[in-house]
Amino acid sequence: MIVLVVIAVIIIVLGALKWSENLYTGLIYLIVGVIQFLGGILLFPRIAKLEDLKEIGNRSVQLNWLVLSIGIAGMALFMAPFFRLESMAVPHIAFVLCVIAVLLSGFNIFMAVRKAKARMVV
Amino acid sequence: MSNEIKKEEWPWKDAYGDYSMVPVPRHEKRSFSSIFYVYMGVLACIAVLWGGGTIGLQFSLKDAILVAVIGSAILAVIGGLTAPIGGIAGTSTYVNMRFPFGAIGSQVFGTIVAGIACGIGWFAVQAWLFGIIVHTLFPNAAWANVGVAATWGGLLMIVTAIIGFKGLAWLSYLAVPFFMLIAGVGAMIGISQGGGFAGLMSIQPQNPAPLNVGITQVVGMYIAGGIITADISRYAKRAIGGAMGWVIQIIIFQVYMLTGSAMLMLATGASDVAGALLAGGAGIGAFLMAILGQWTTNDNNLYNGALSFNTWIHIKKQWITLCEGLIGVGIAAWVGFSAGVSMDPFMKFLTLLGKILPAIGGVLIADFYIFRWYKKVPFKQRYKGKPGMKIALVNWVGWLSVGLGTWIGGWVIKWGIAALNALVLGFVIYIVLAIIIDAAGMKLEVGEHTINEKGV
Repeated sequence: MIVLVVIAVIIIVLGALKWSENLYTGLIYLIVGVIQFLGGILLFPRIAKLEDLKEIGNRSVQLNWLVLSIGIAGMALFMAPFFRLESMAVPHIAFVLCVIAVLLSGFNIFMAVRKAKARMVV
Repeated sequence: MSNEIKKEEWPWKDAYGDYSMVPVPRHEKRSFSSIFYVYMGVLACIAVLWGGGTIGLQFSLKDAILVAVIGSAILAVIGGLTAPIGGIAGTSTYVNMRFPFGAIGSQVFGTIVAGIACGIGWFAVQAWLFGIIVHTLFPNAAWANVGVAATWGGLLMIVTAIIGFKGLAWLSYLAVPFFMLIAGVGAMIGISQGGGFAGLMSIQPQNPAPLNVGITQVVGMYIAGGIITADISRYAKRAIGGAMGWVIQIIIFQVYMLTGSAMLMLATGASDVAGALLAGGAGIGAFLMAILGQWTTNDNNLYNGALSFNTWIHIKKQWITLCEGLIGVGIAAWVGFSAGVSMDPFMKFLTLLGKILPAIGGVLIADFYIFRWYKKVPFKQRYKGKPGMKIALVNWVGWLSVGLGTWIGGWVIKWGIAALNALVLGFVIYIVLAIIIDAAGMKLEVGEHTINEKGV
């Protein structure tokens, strides 16, 4: 989950950097980054007082679905013509970060269901 | 011993799957977020964006927002009243309808509201819409022909509906956040192409319409969903959870989606949302939106339809889902192959829907909240069935109220919002007739039916 939070922070920084070049690109990076950040960071207080592994898994599944879905949206949108930048290096980096976020959150869901016997649908 | 306790708490047998005829047991209840996501999955559809687009073509941005807010507020009240019924009873809308309409009434009206309207009609329309959108995005591909795309899209939608509530929730988790973001992108493209927010505010539609027309469209677009909220809220851990989930998604997210697509259409003047998104540069997001948006909504249509058909077709719900899905796909493919990209069937369907469904919702609300209160049934005991319980075959007052409410509200009264008129009339007529007849010592019910452990 920490890796997901770091990825989200990088996307937020990229959005802030490109804000002046294309307002909408900056905005979409920030939205995706902030939602992923919240999805990652909120897990810690939500499981802090829990002892039941299954319940921890359930919370993890819930937040990882959010990260996964927003990650797919990021993948679809960052390369879209409307959000195109002069240099495509940043969109490519953001795209790869989203791919990693999608894979990691998918893995987290899989592990929560497999190891903690969490529900796929909470 | 524990099994005996469980049997005592939940004396039912789920013979048809997914608790279609019996109350959802406590251990199968879901969290607020799960219920919220499934509702959002129903909302997150192209039809809502299309509805917003239609508003964008008829109103200035200020009026479009007003129309979206008023229409959504009306829907929030309707669904906010029907959702707790499912939460308390733990049963679907059609099982709940046994009380105001009788056993036969629940079969007839349930089949009209959900079986024919949602399970076959809406499903076919949305599968057809899916075909149109895919064709708009890829006009030269053979697999994107309206009829062909409607067929494979419809089959895709059948899959999660067959899985049941878990299938709907799983897909909603995946699709809803994505869809919300795409709706925001539509607004961004609209603002960008409209010359900023101020520029967008100054654009006037070419063919403006009165406000009540727009409100009717918003209410008519989703009133079926507002009446059958119990199908999902029956899974809520707390009765209030279903109502809260419904109200939040309607008041915040429906307004957001309607306004976002209205902005897009107002700025671009395009005739369809997906095309405008693609032309505006949303890229593959437009295509994913088309697939996921239609999928999350249409599997719900099938799901609700199967629940209603299950009240009189006593086979596993999965088989009903498959059959009605295939009928819907057949219709969608036929319209797709013969009518191409005409919007007429969709608009005619919405108009008809707005007239025939709301009175049923009005009677259901009146019976649960007012008539049961008048009969001094404790709130948490209302609509609680149990094996061996006797219910009416026909509640003729419910039937009469729906008939009168639909006829007067839909066809006689020419002012206001037709759907709302019918709902309020159904509500008022039922209360007045039921209380007068009950006070006069006459019977509302005809015949008798005993519920067995399968909920039949």
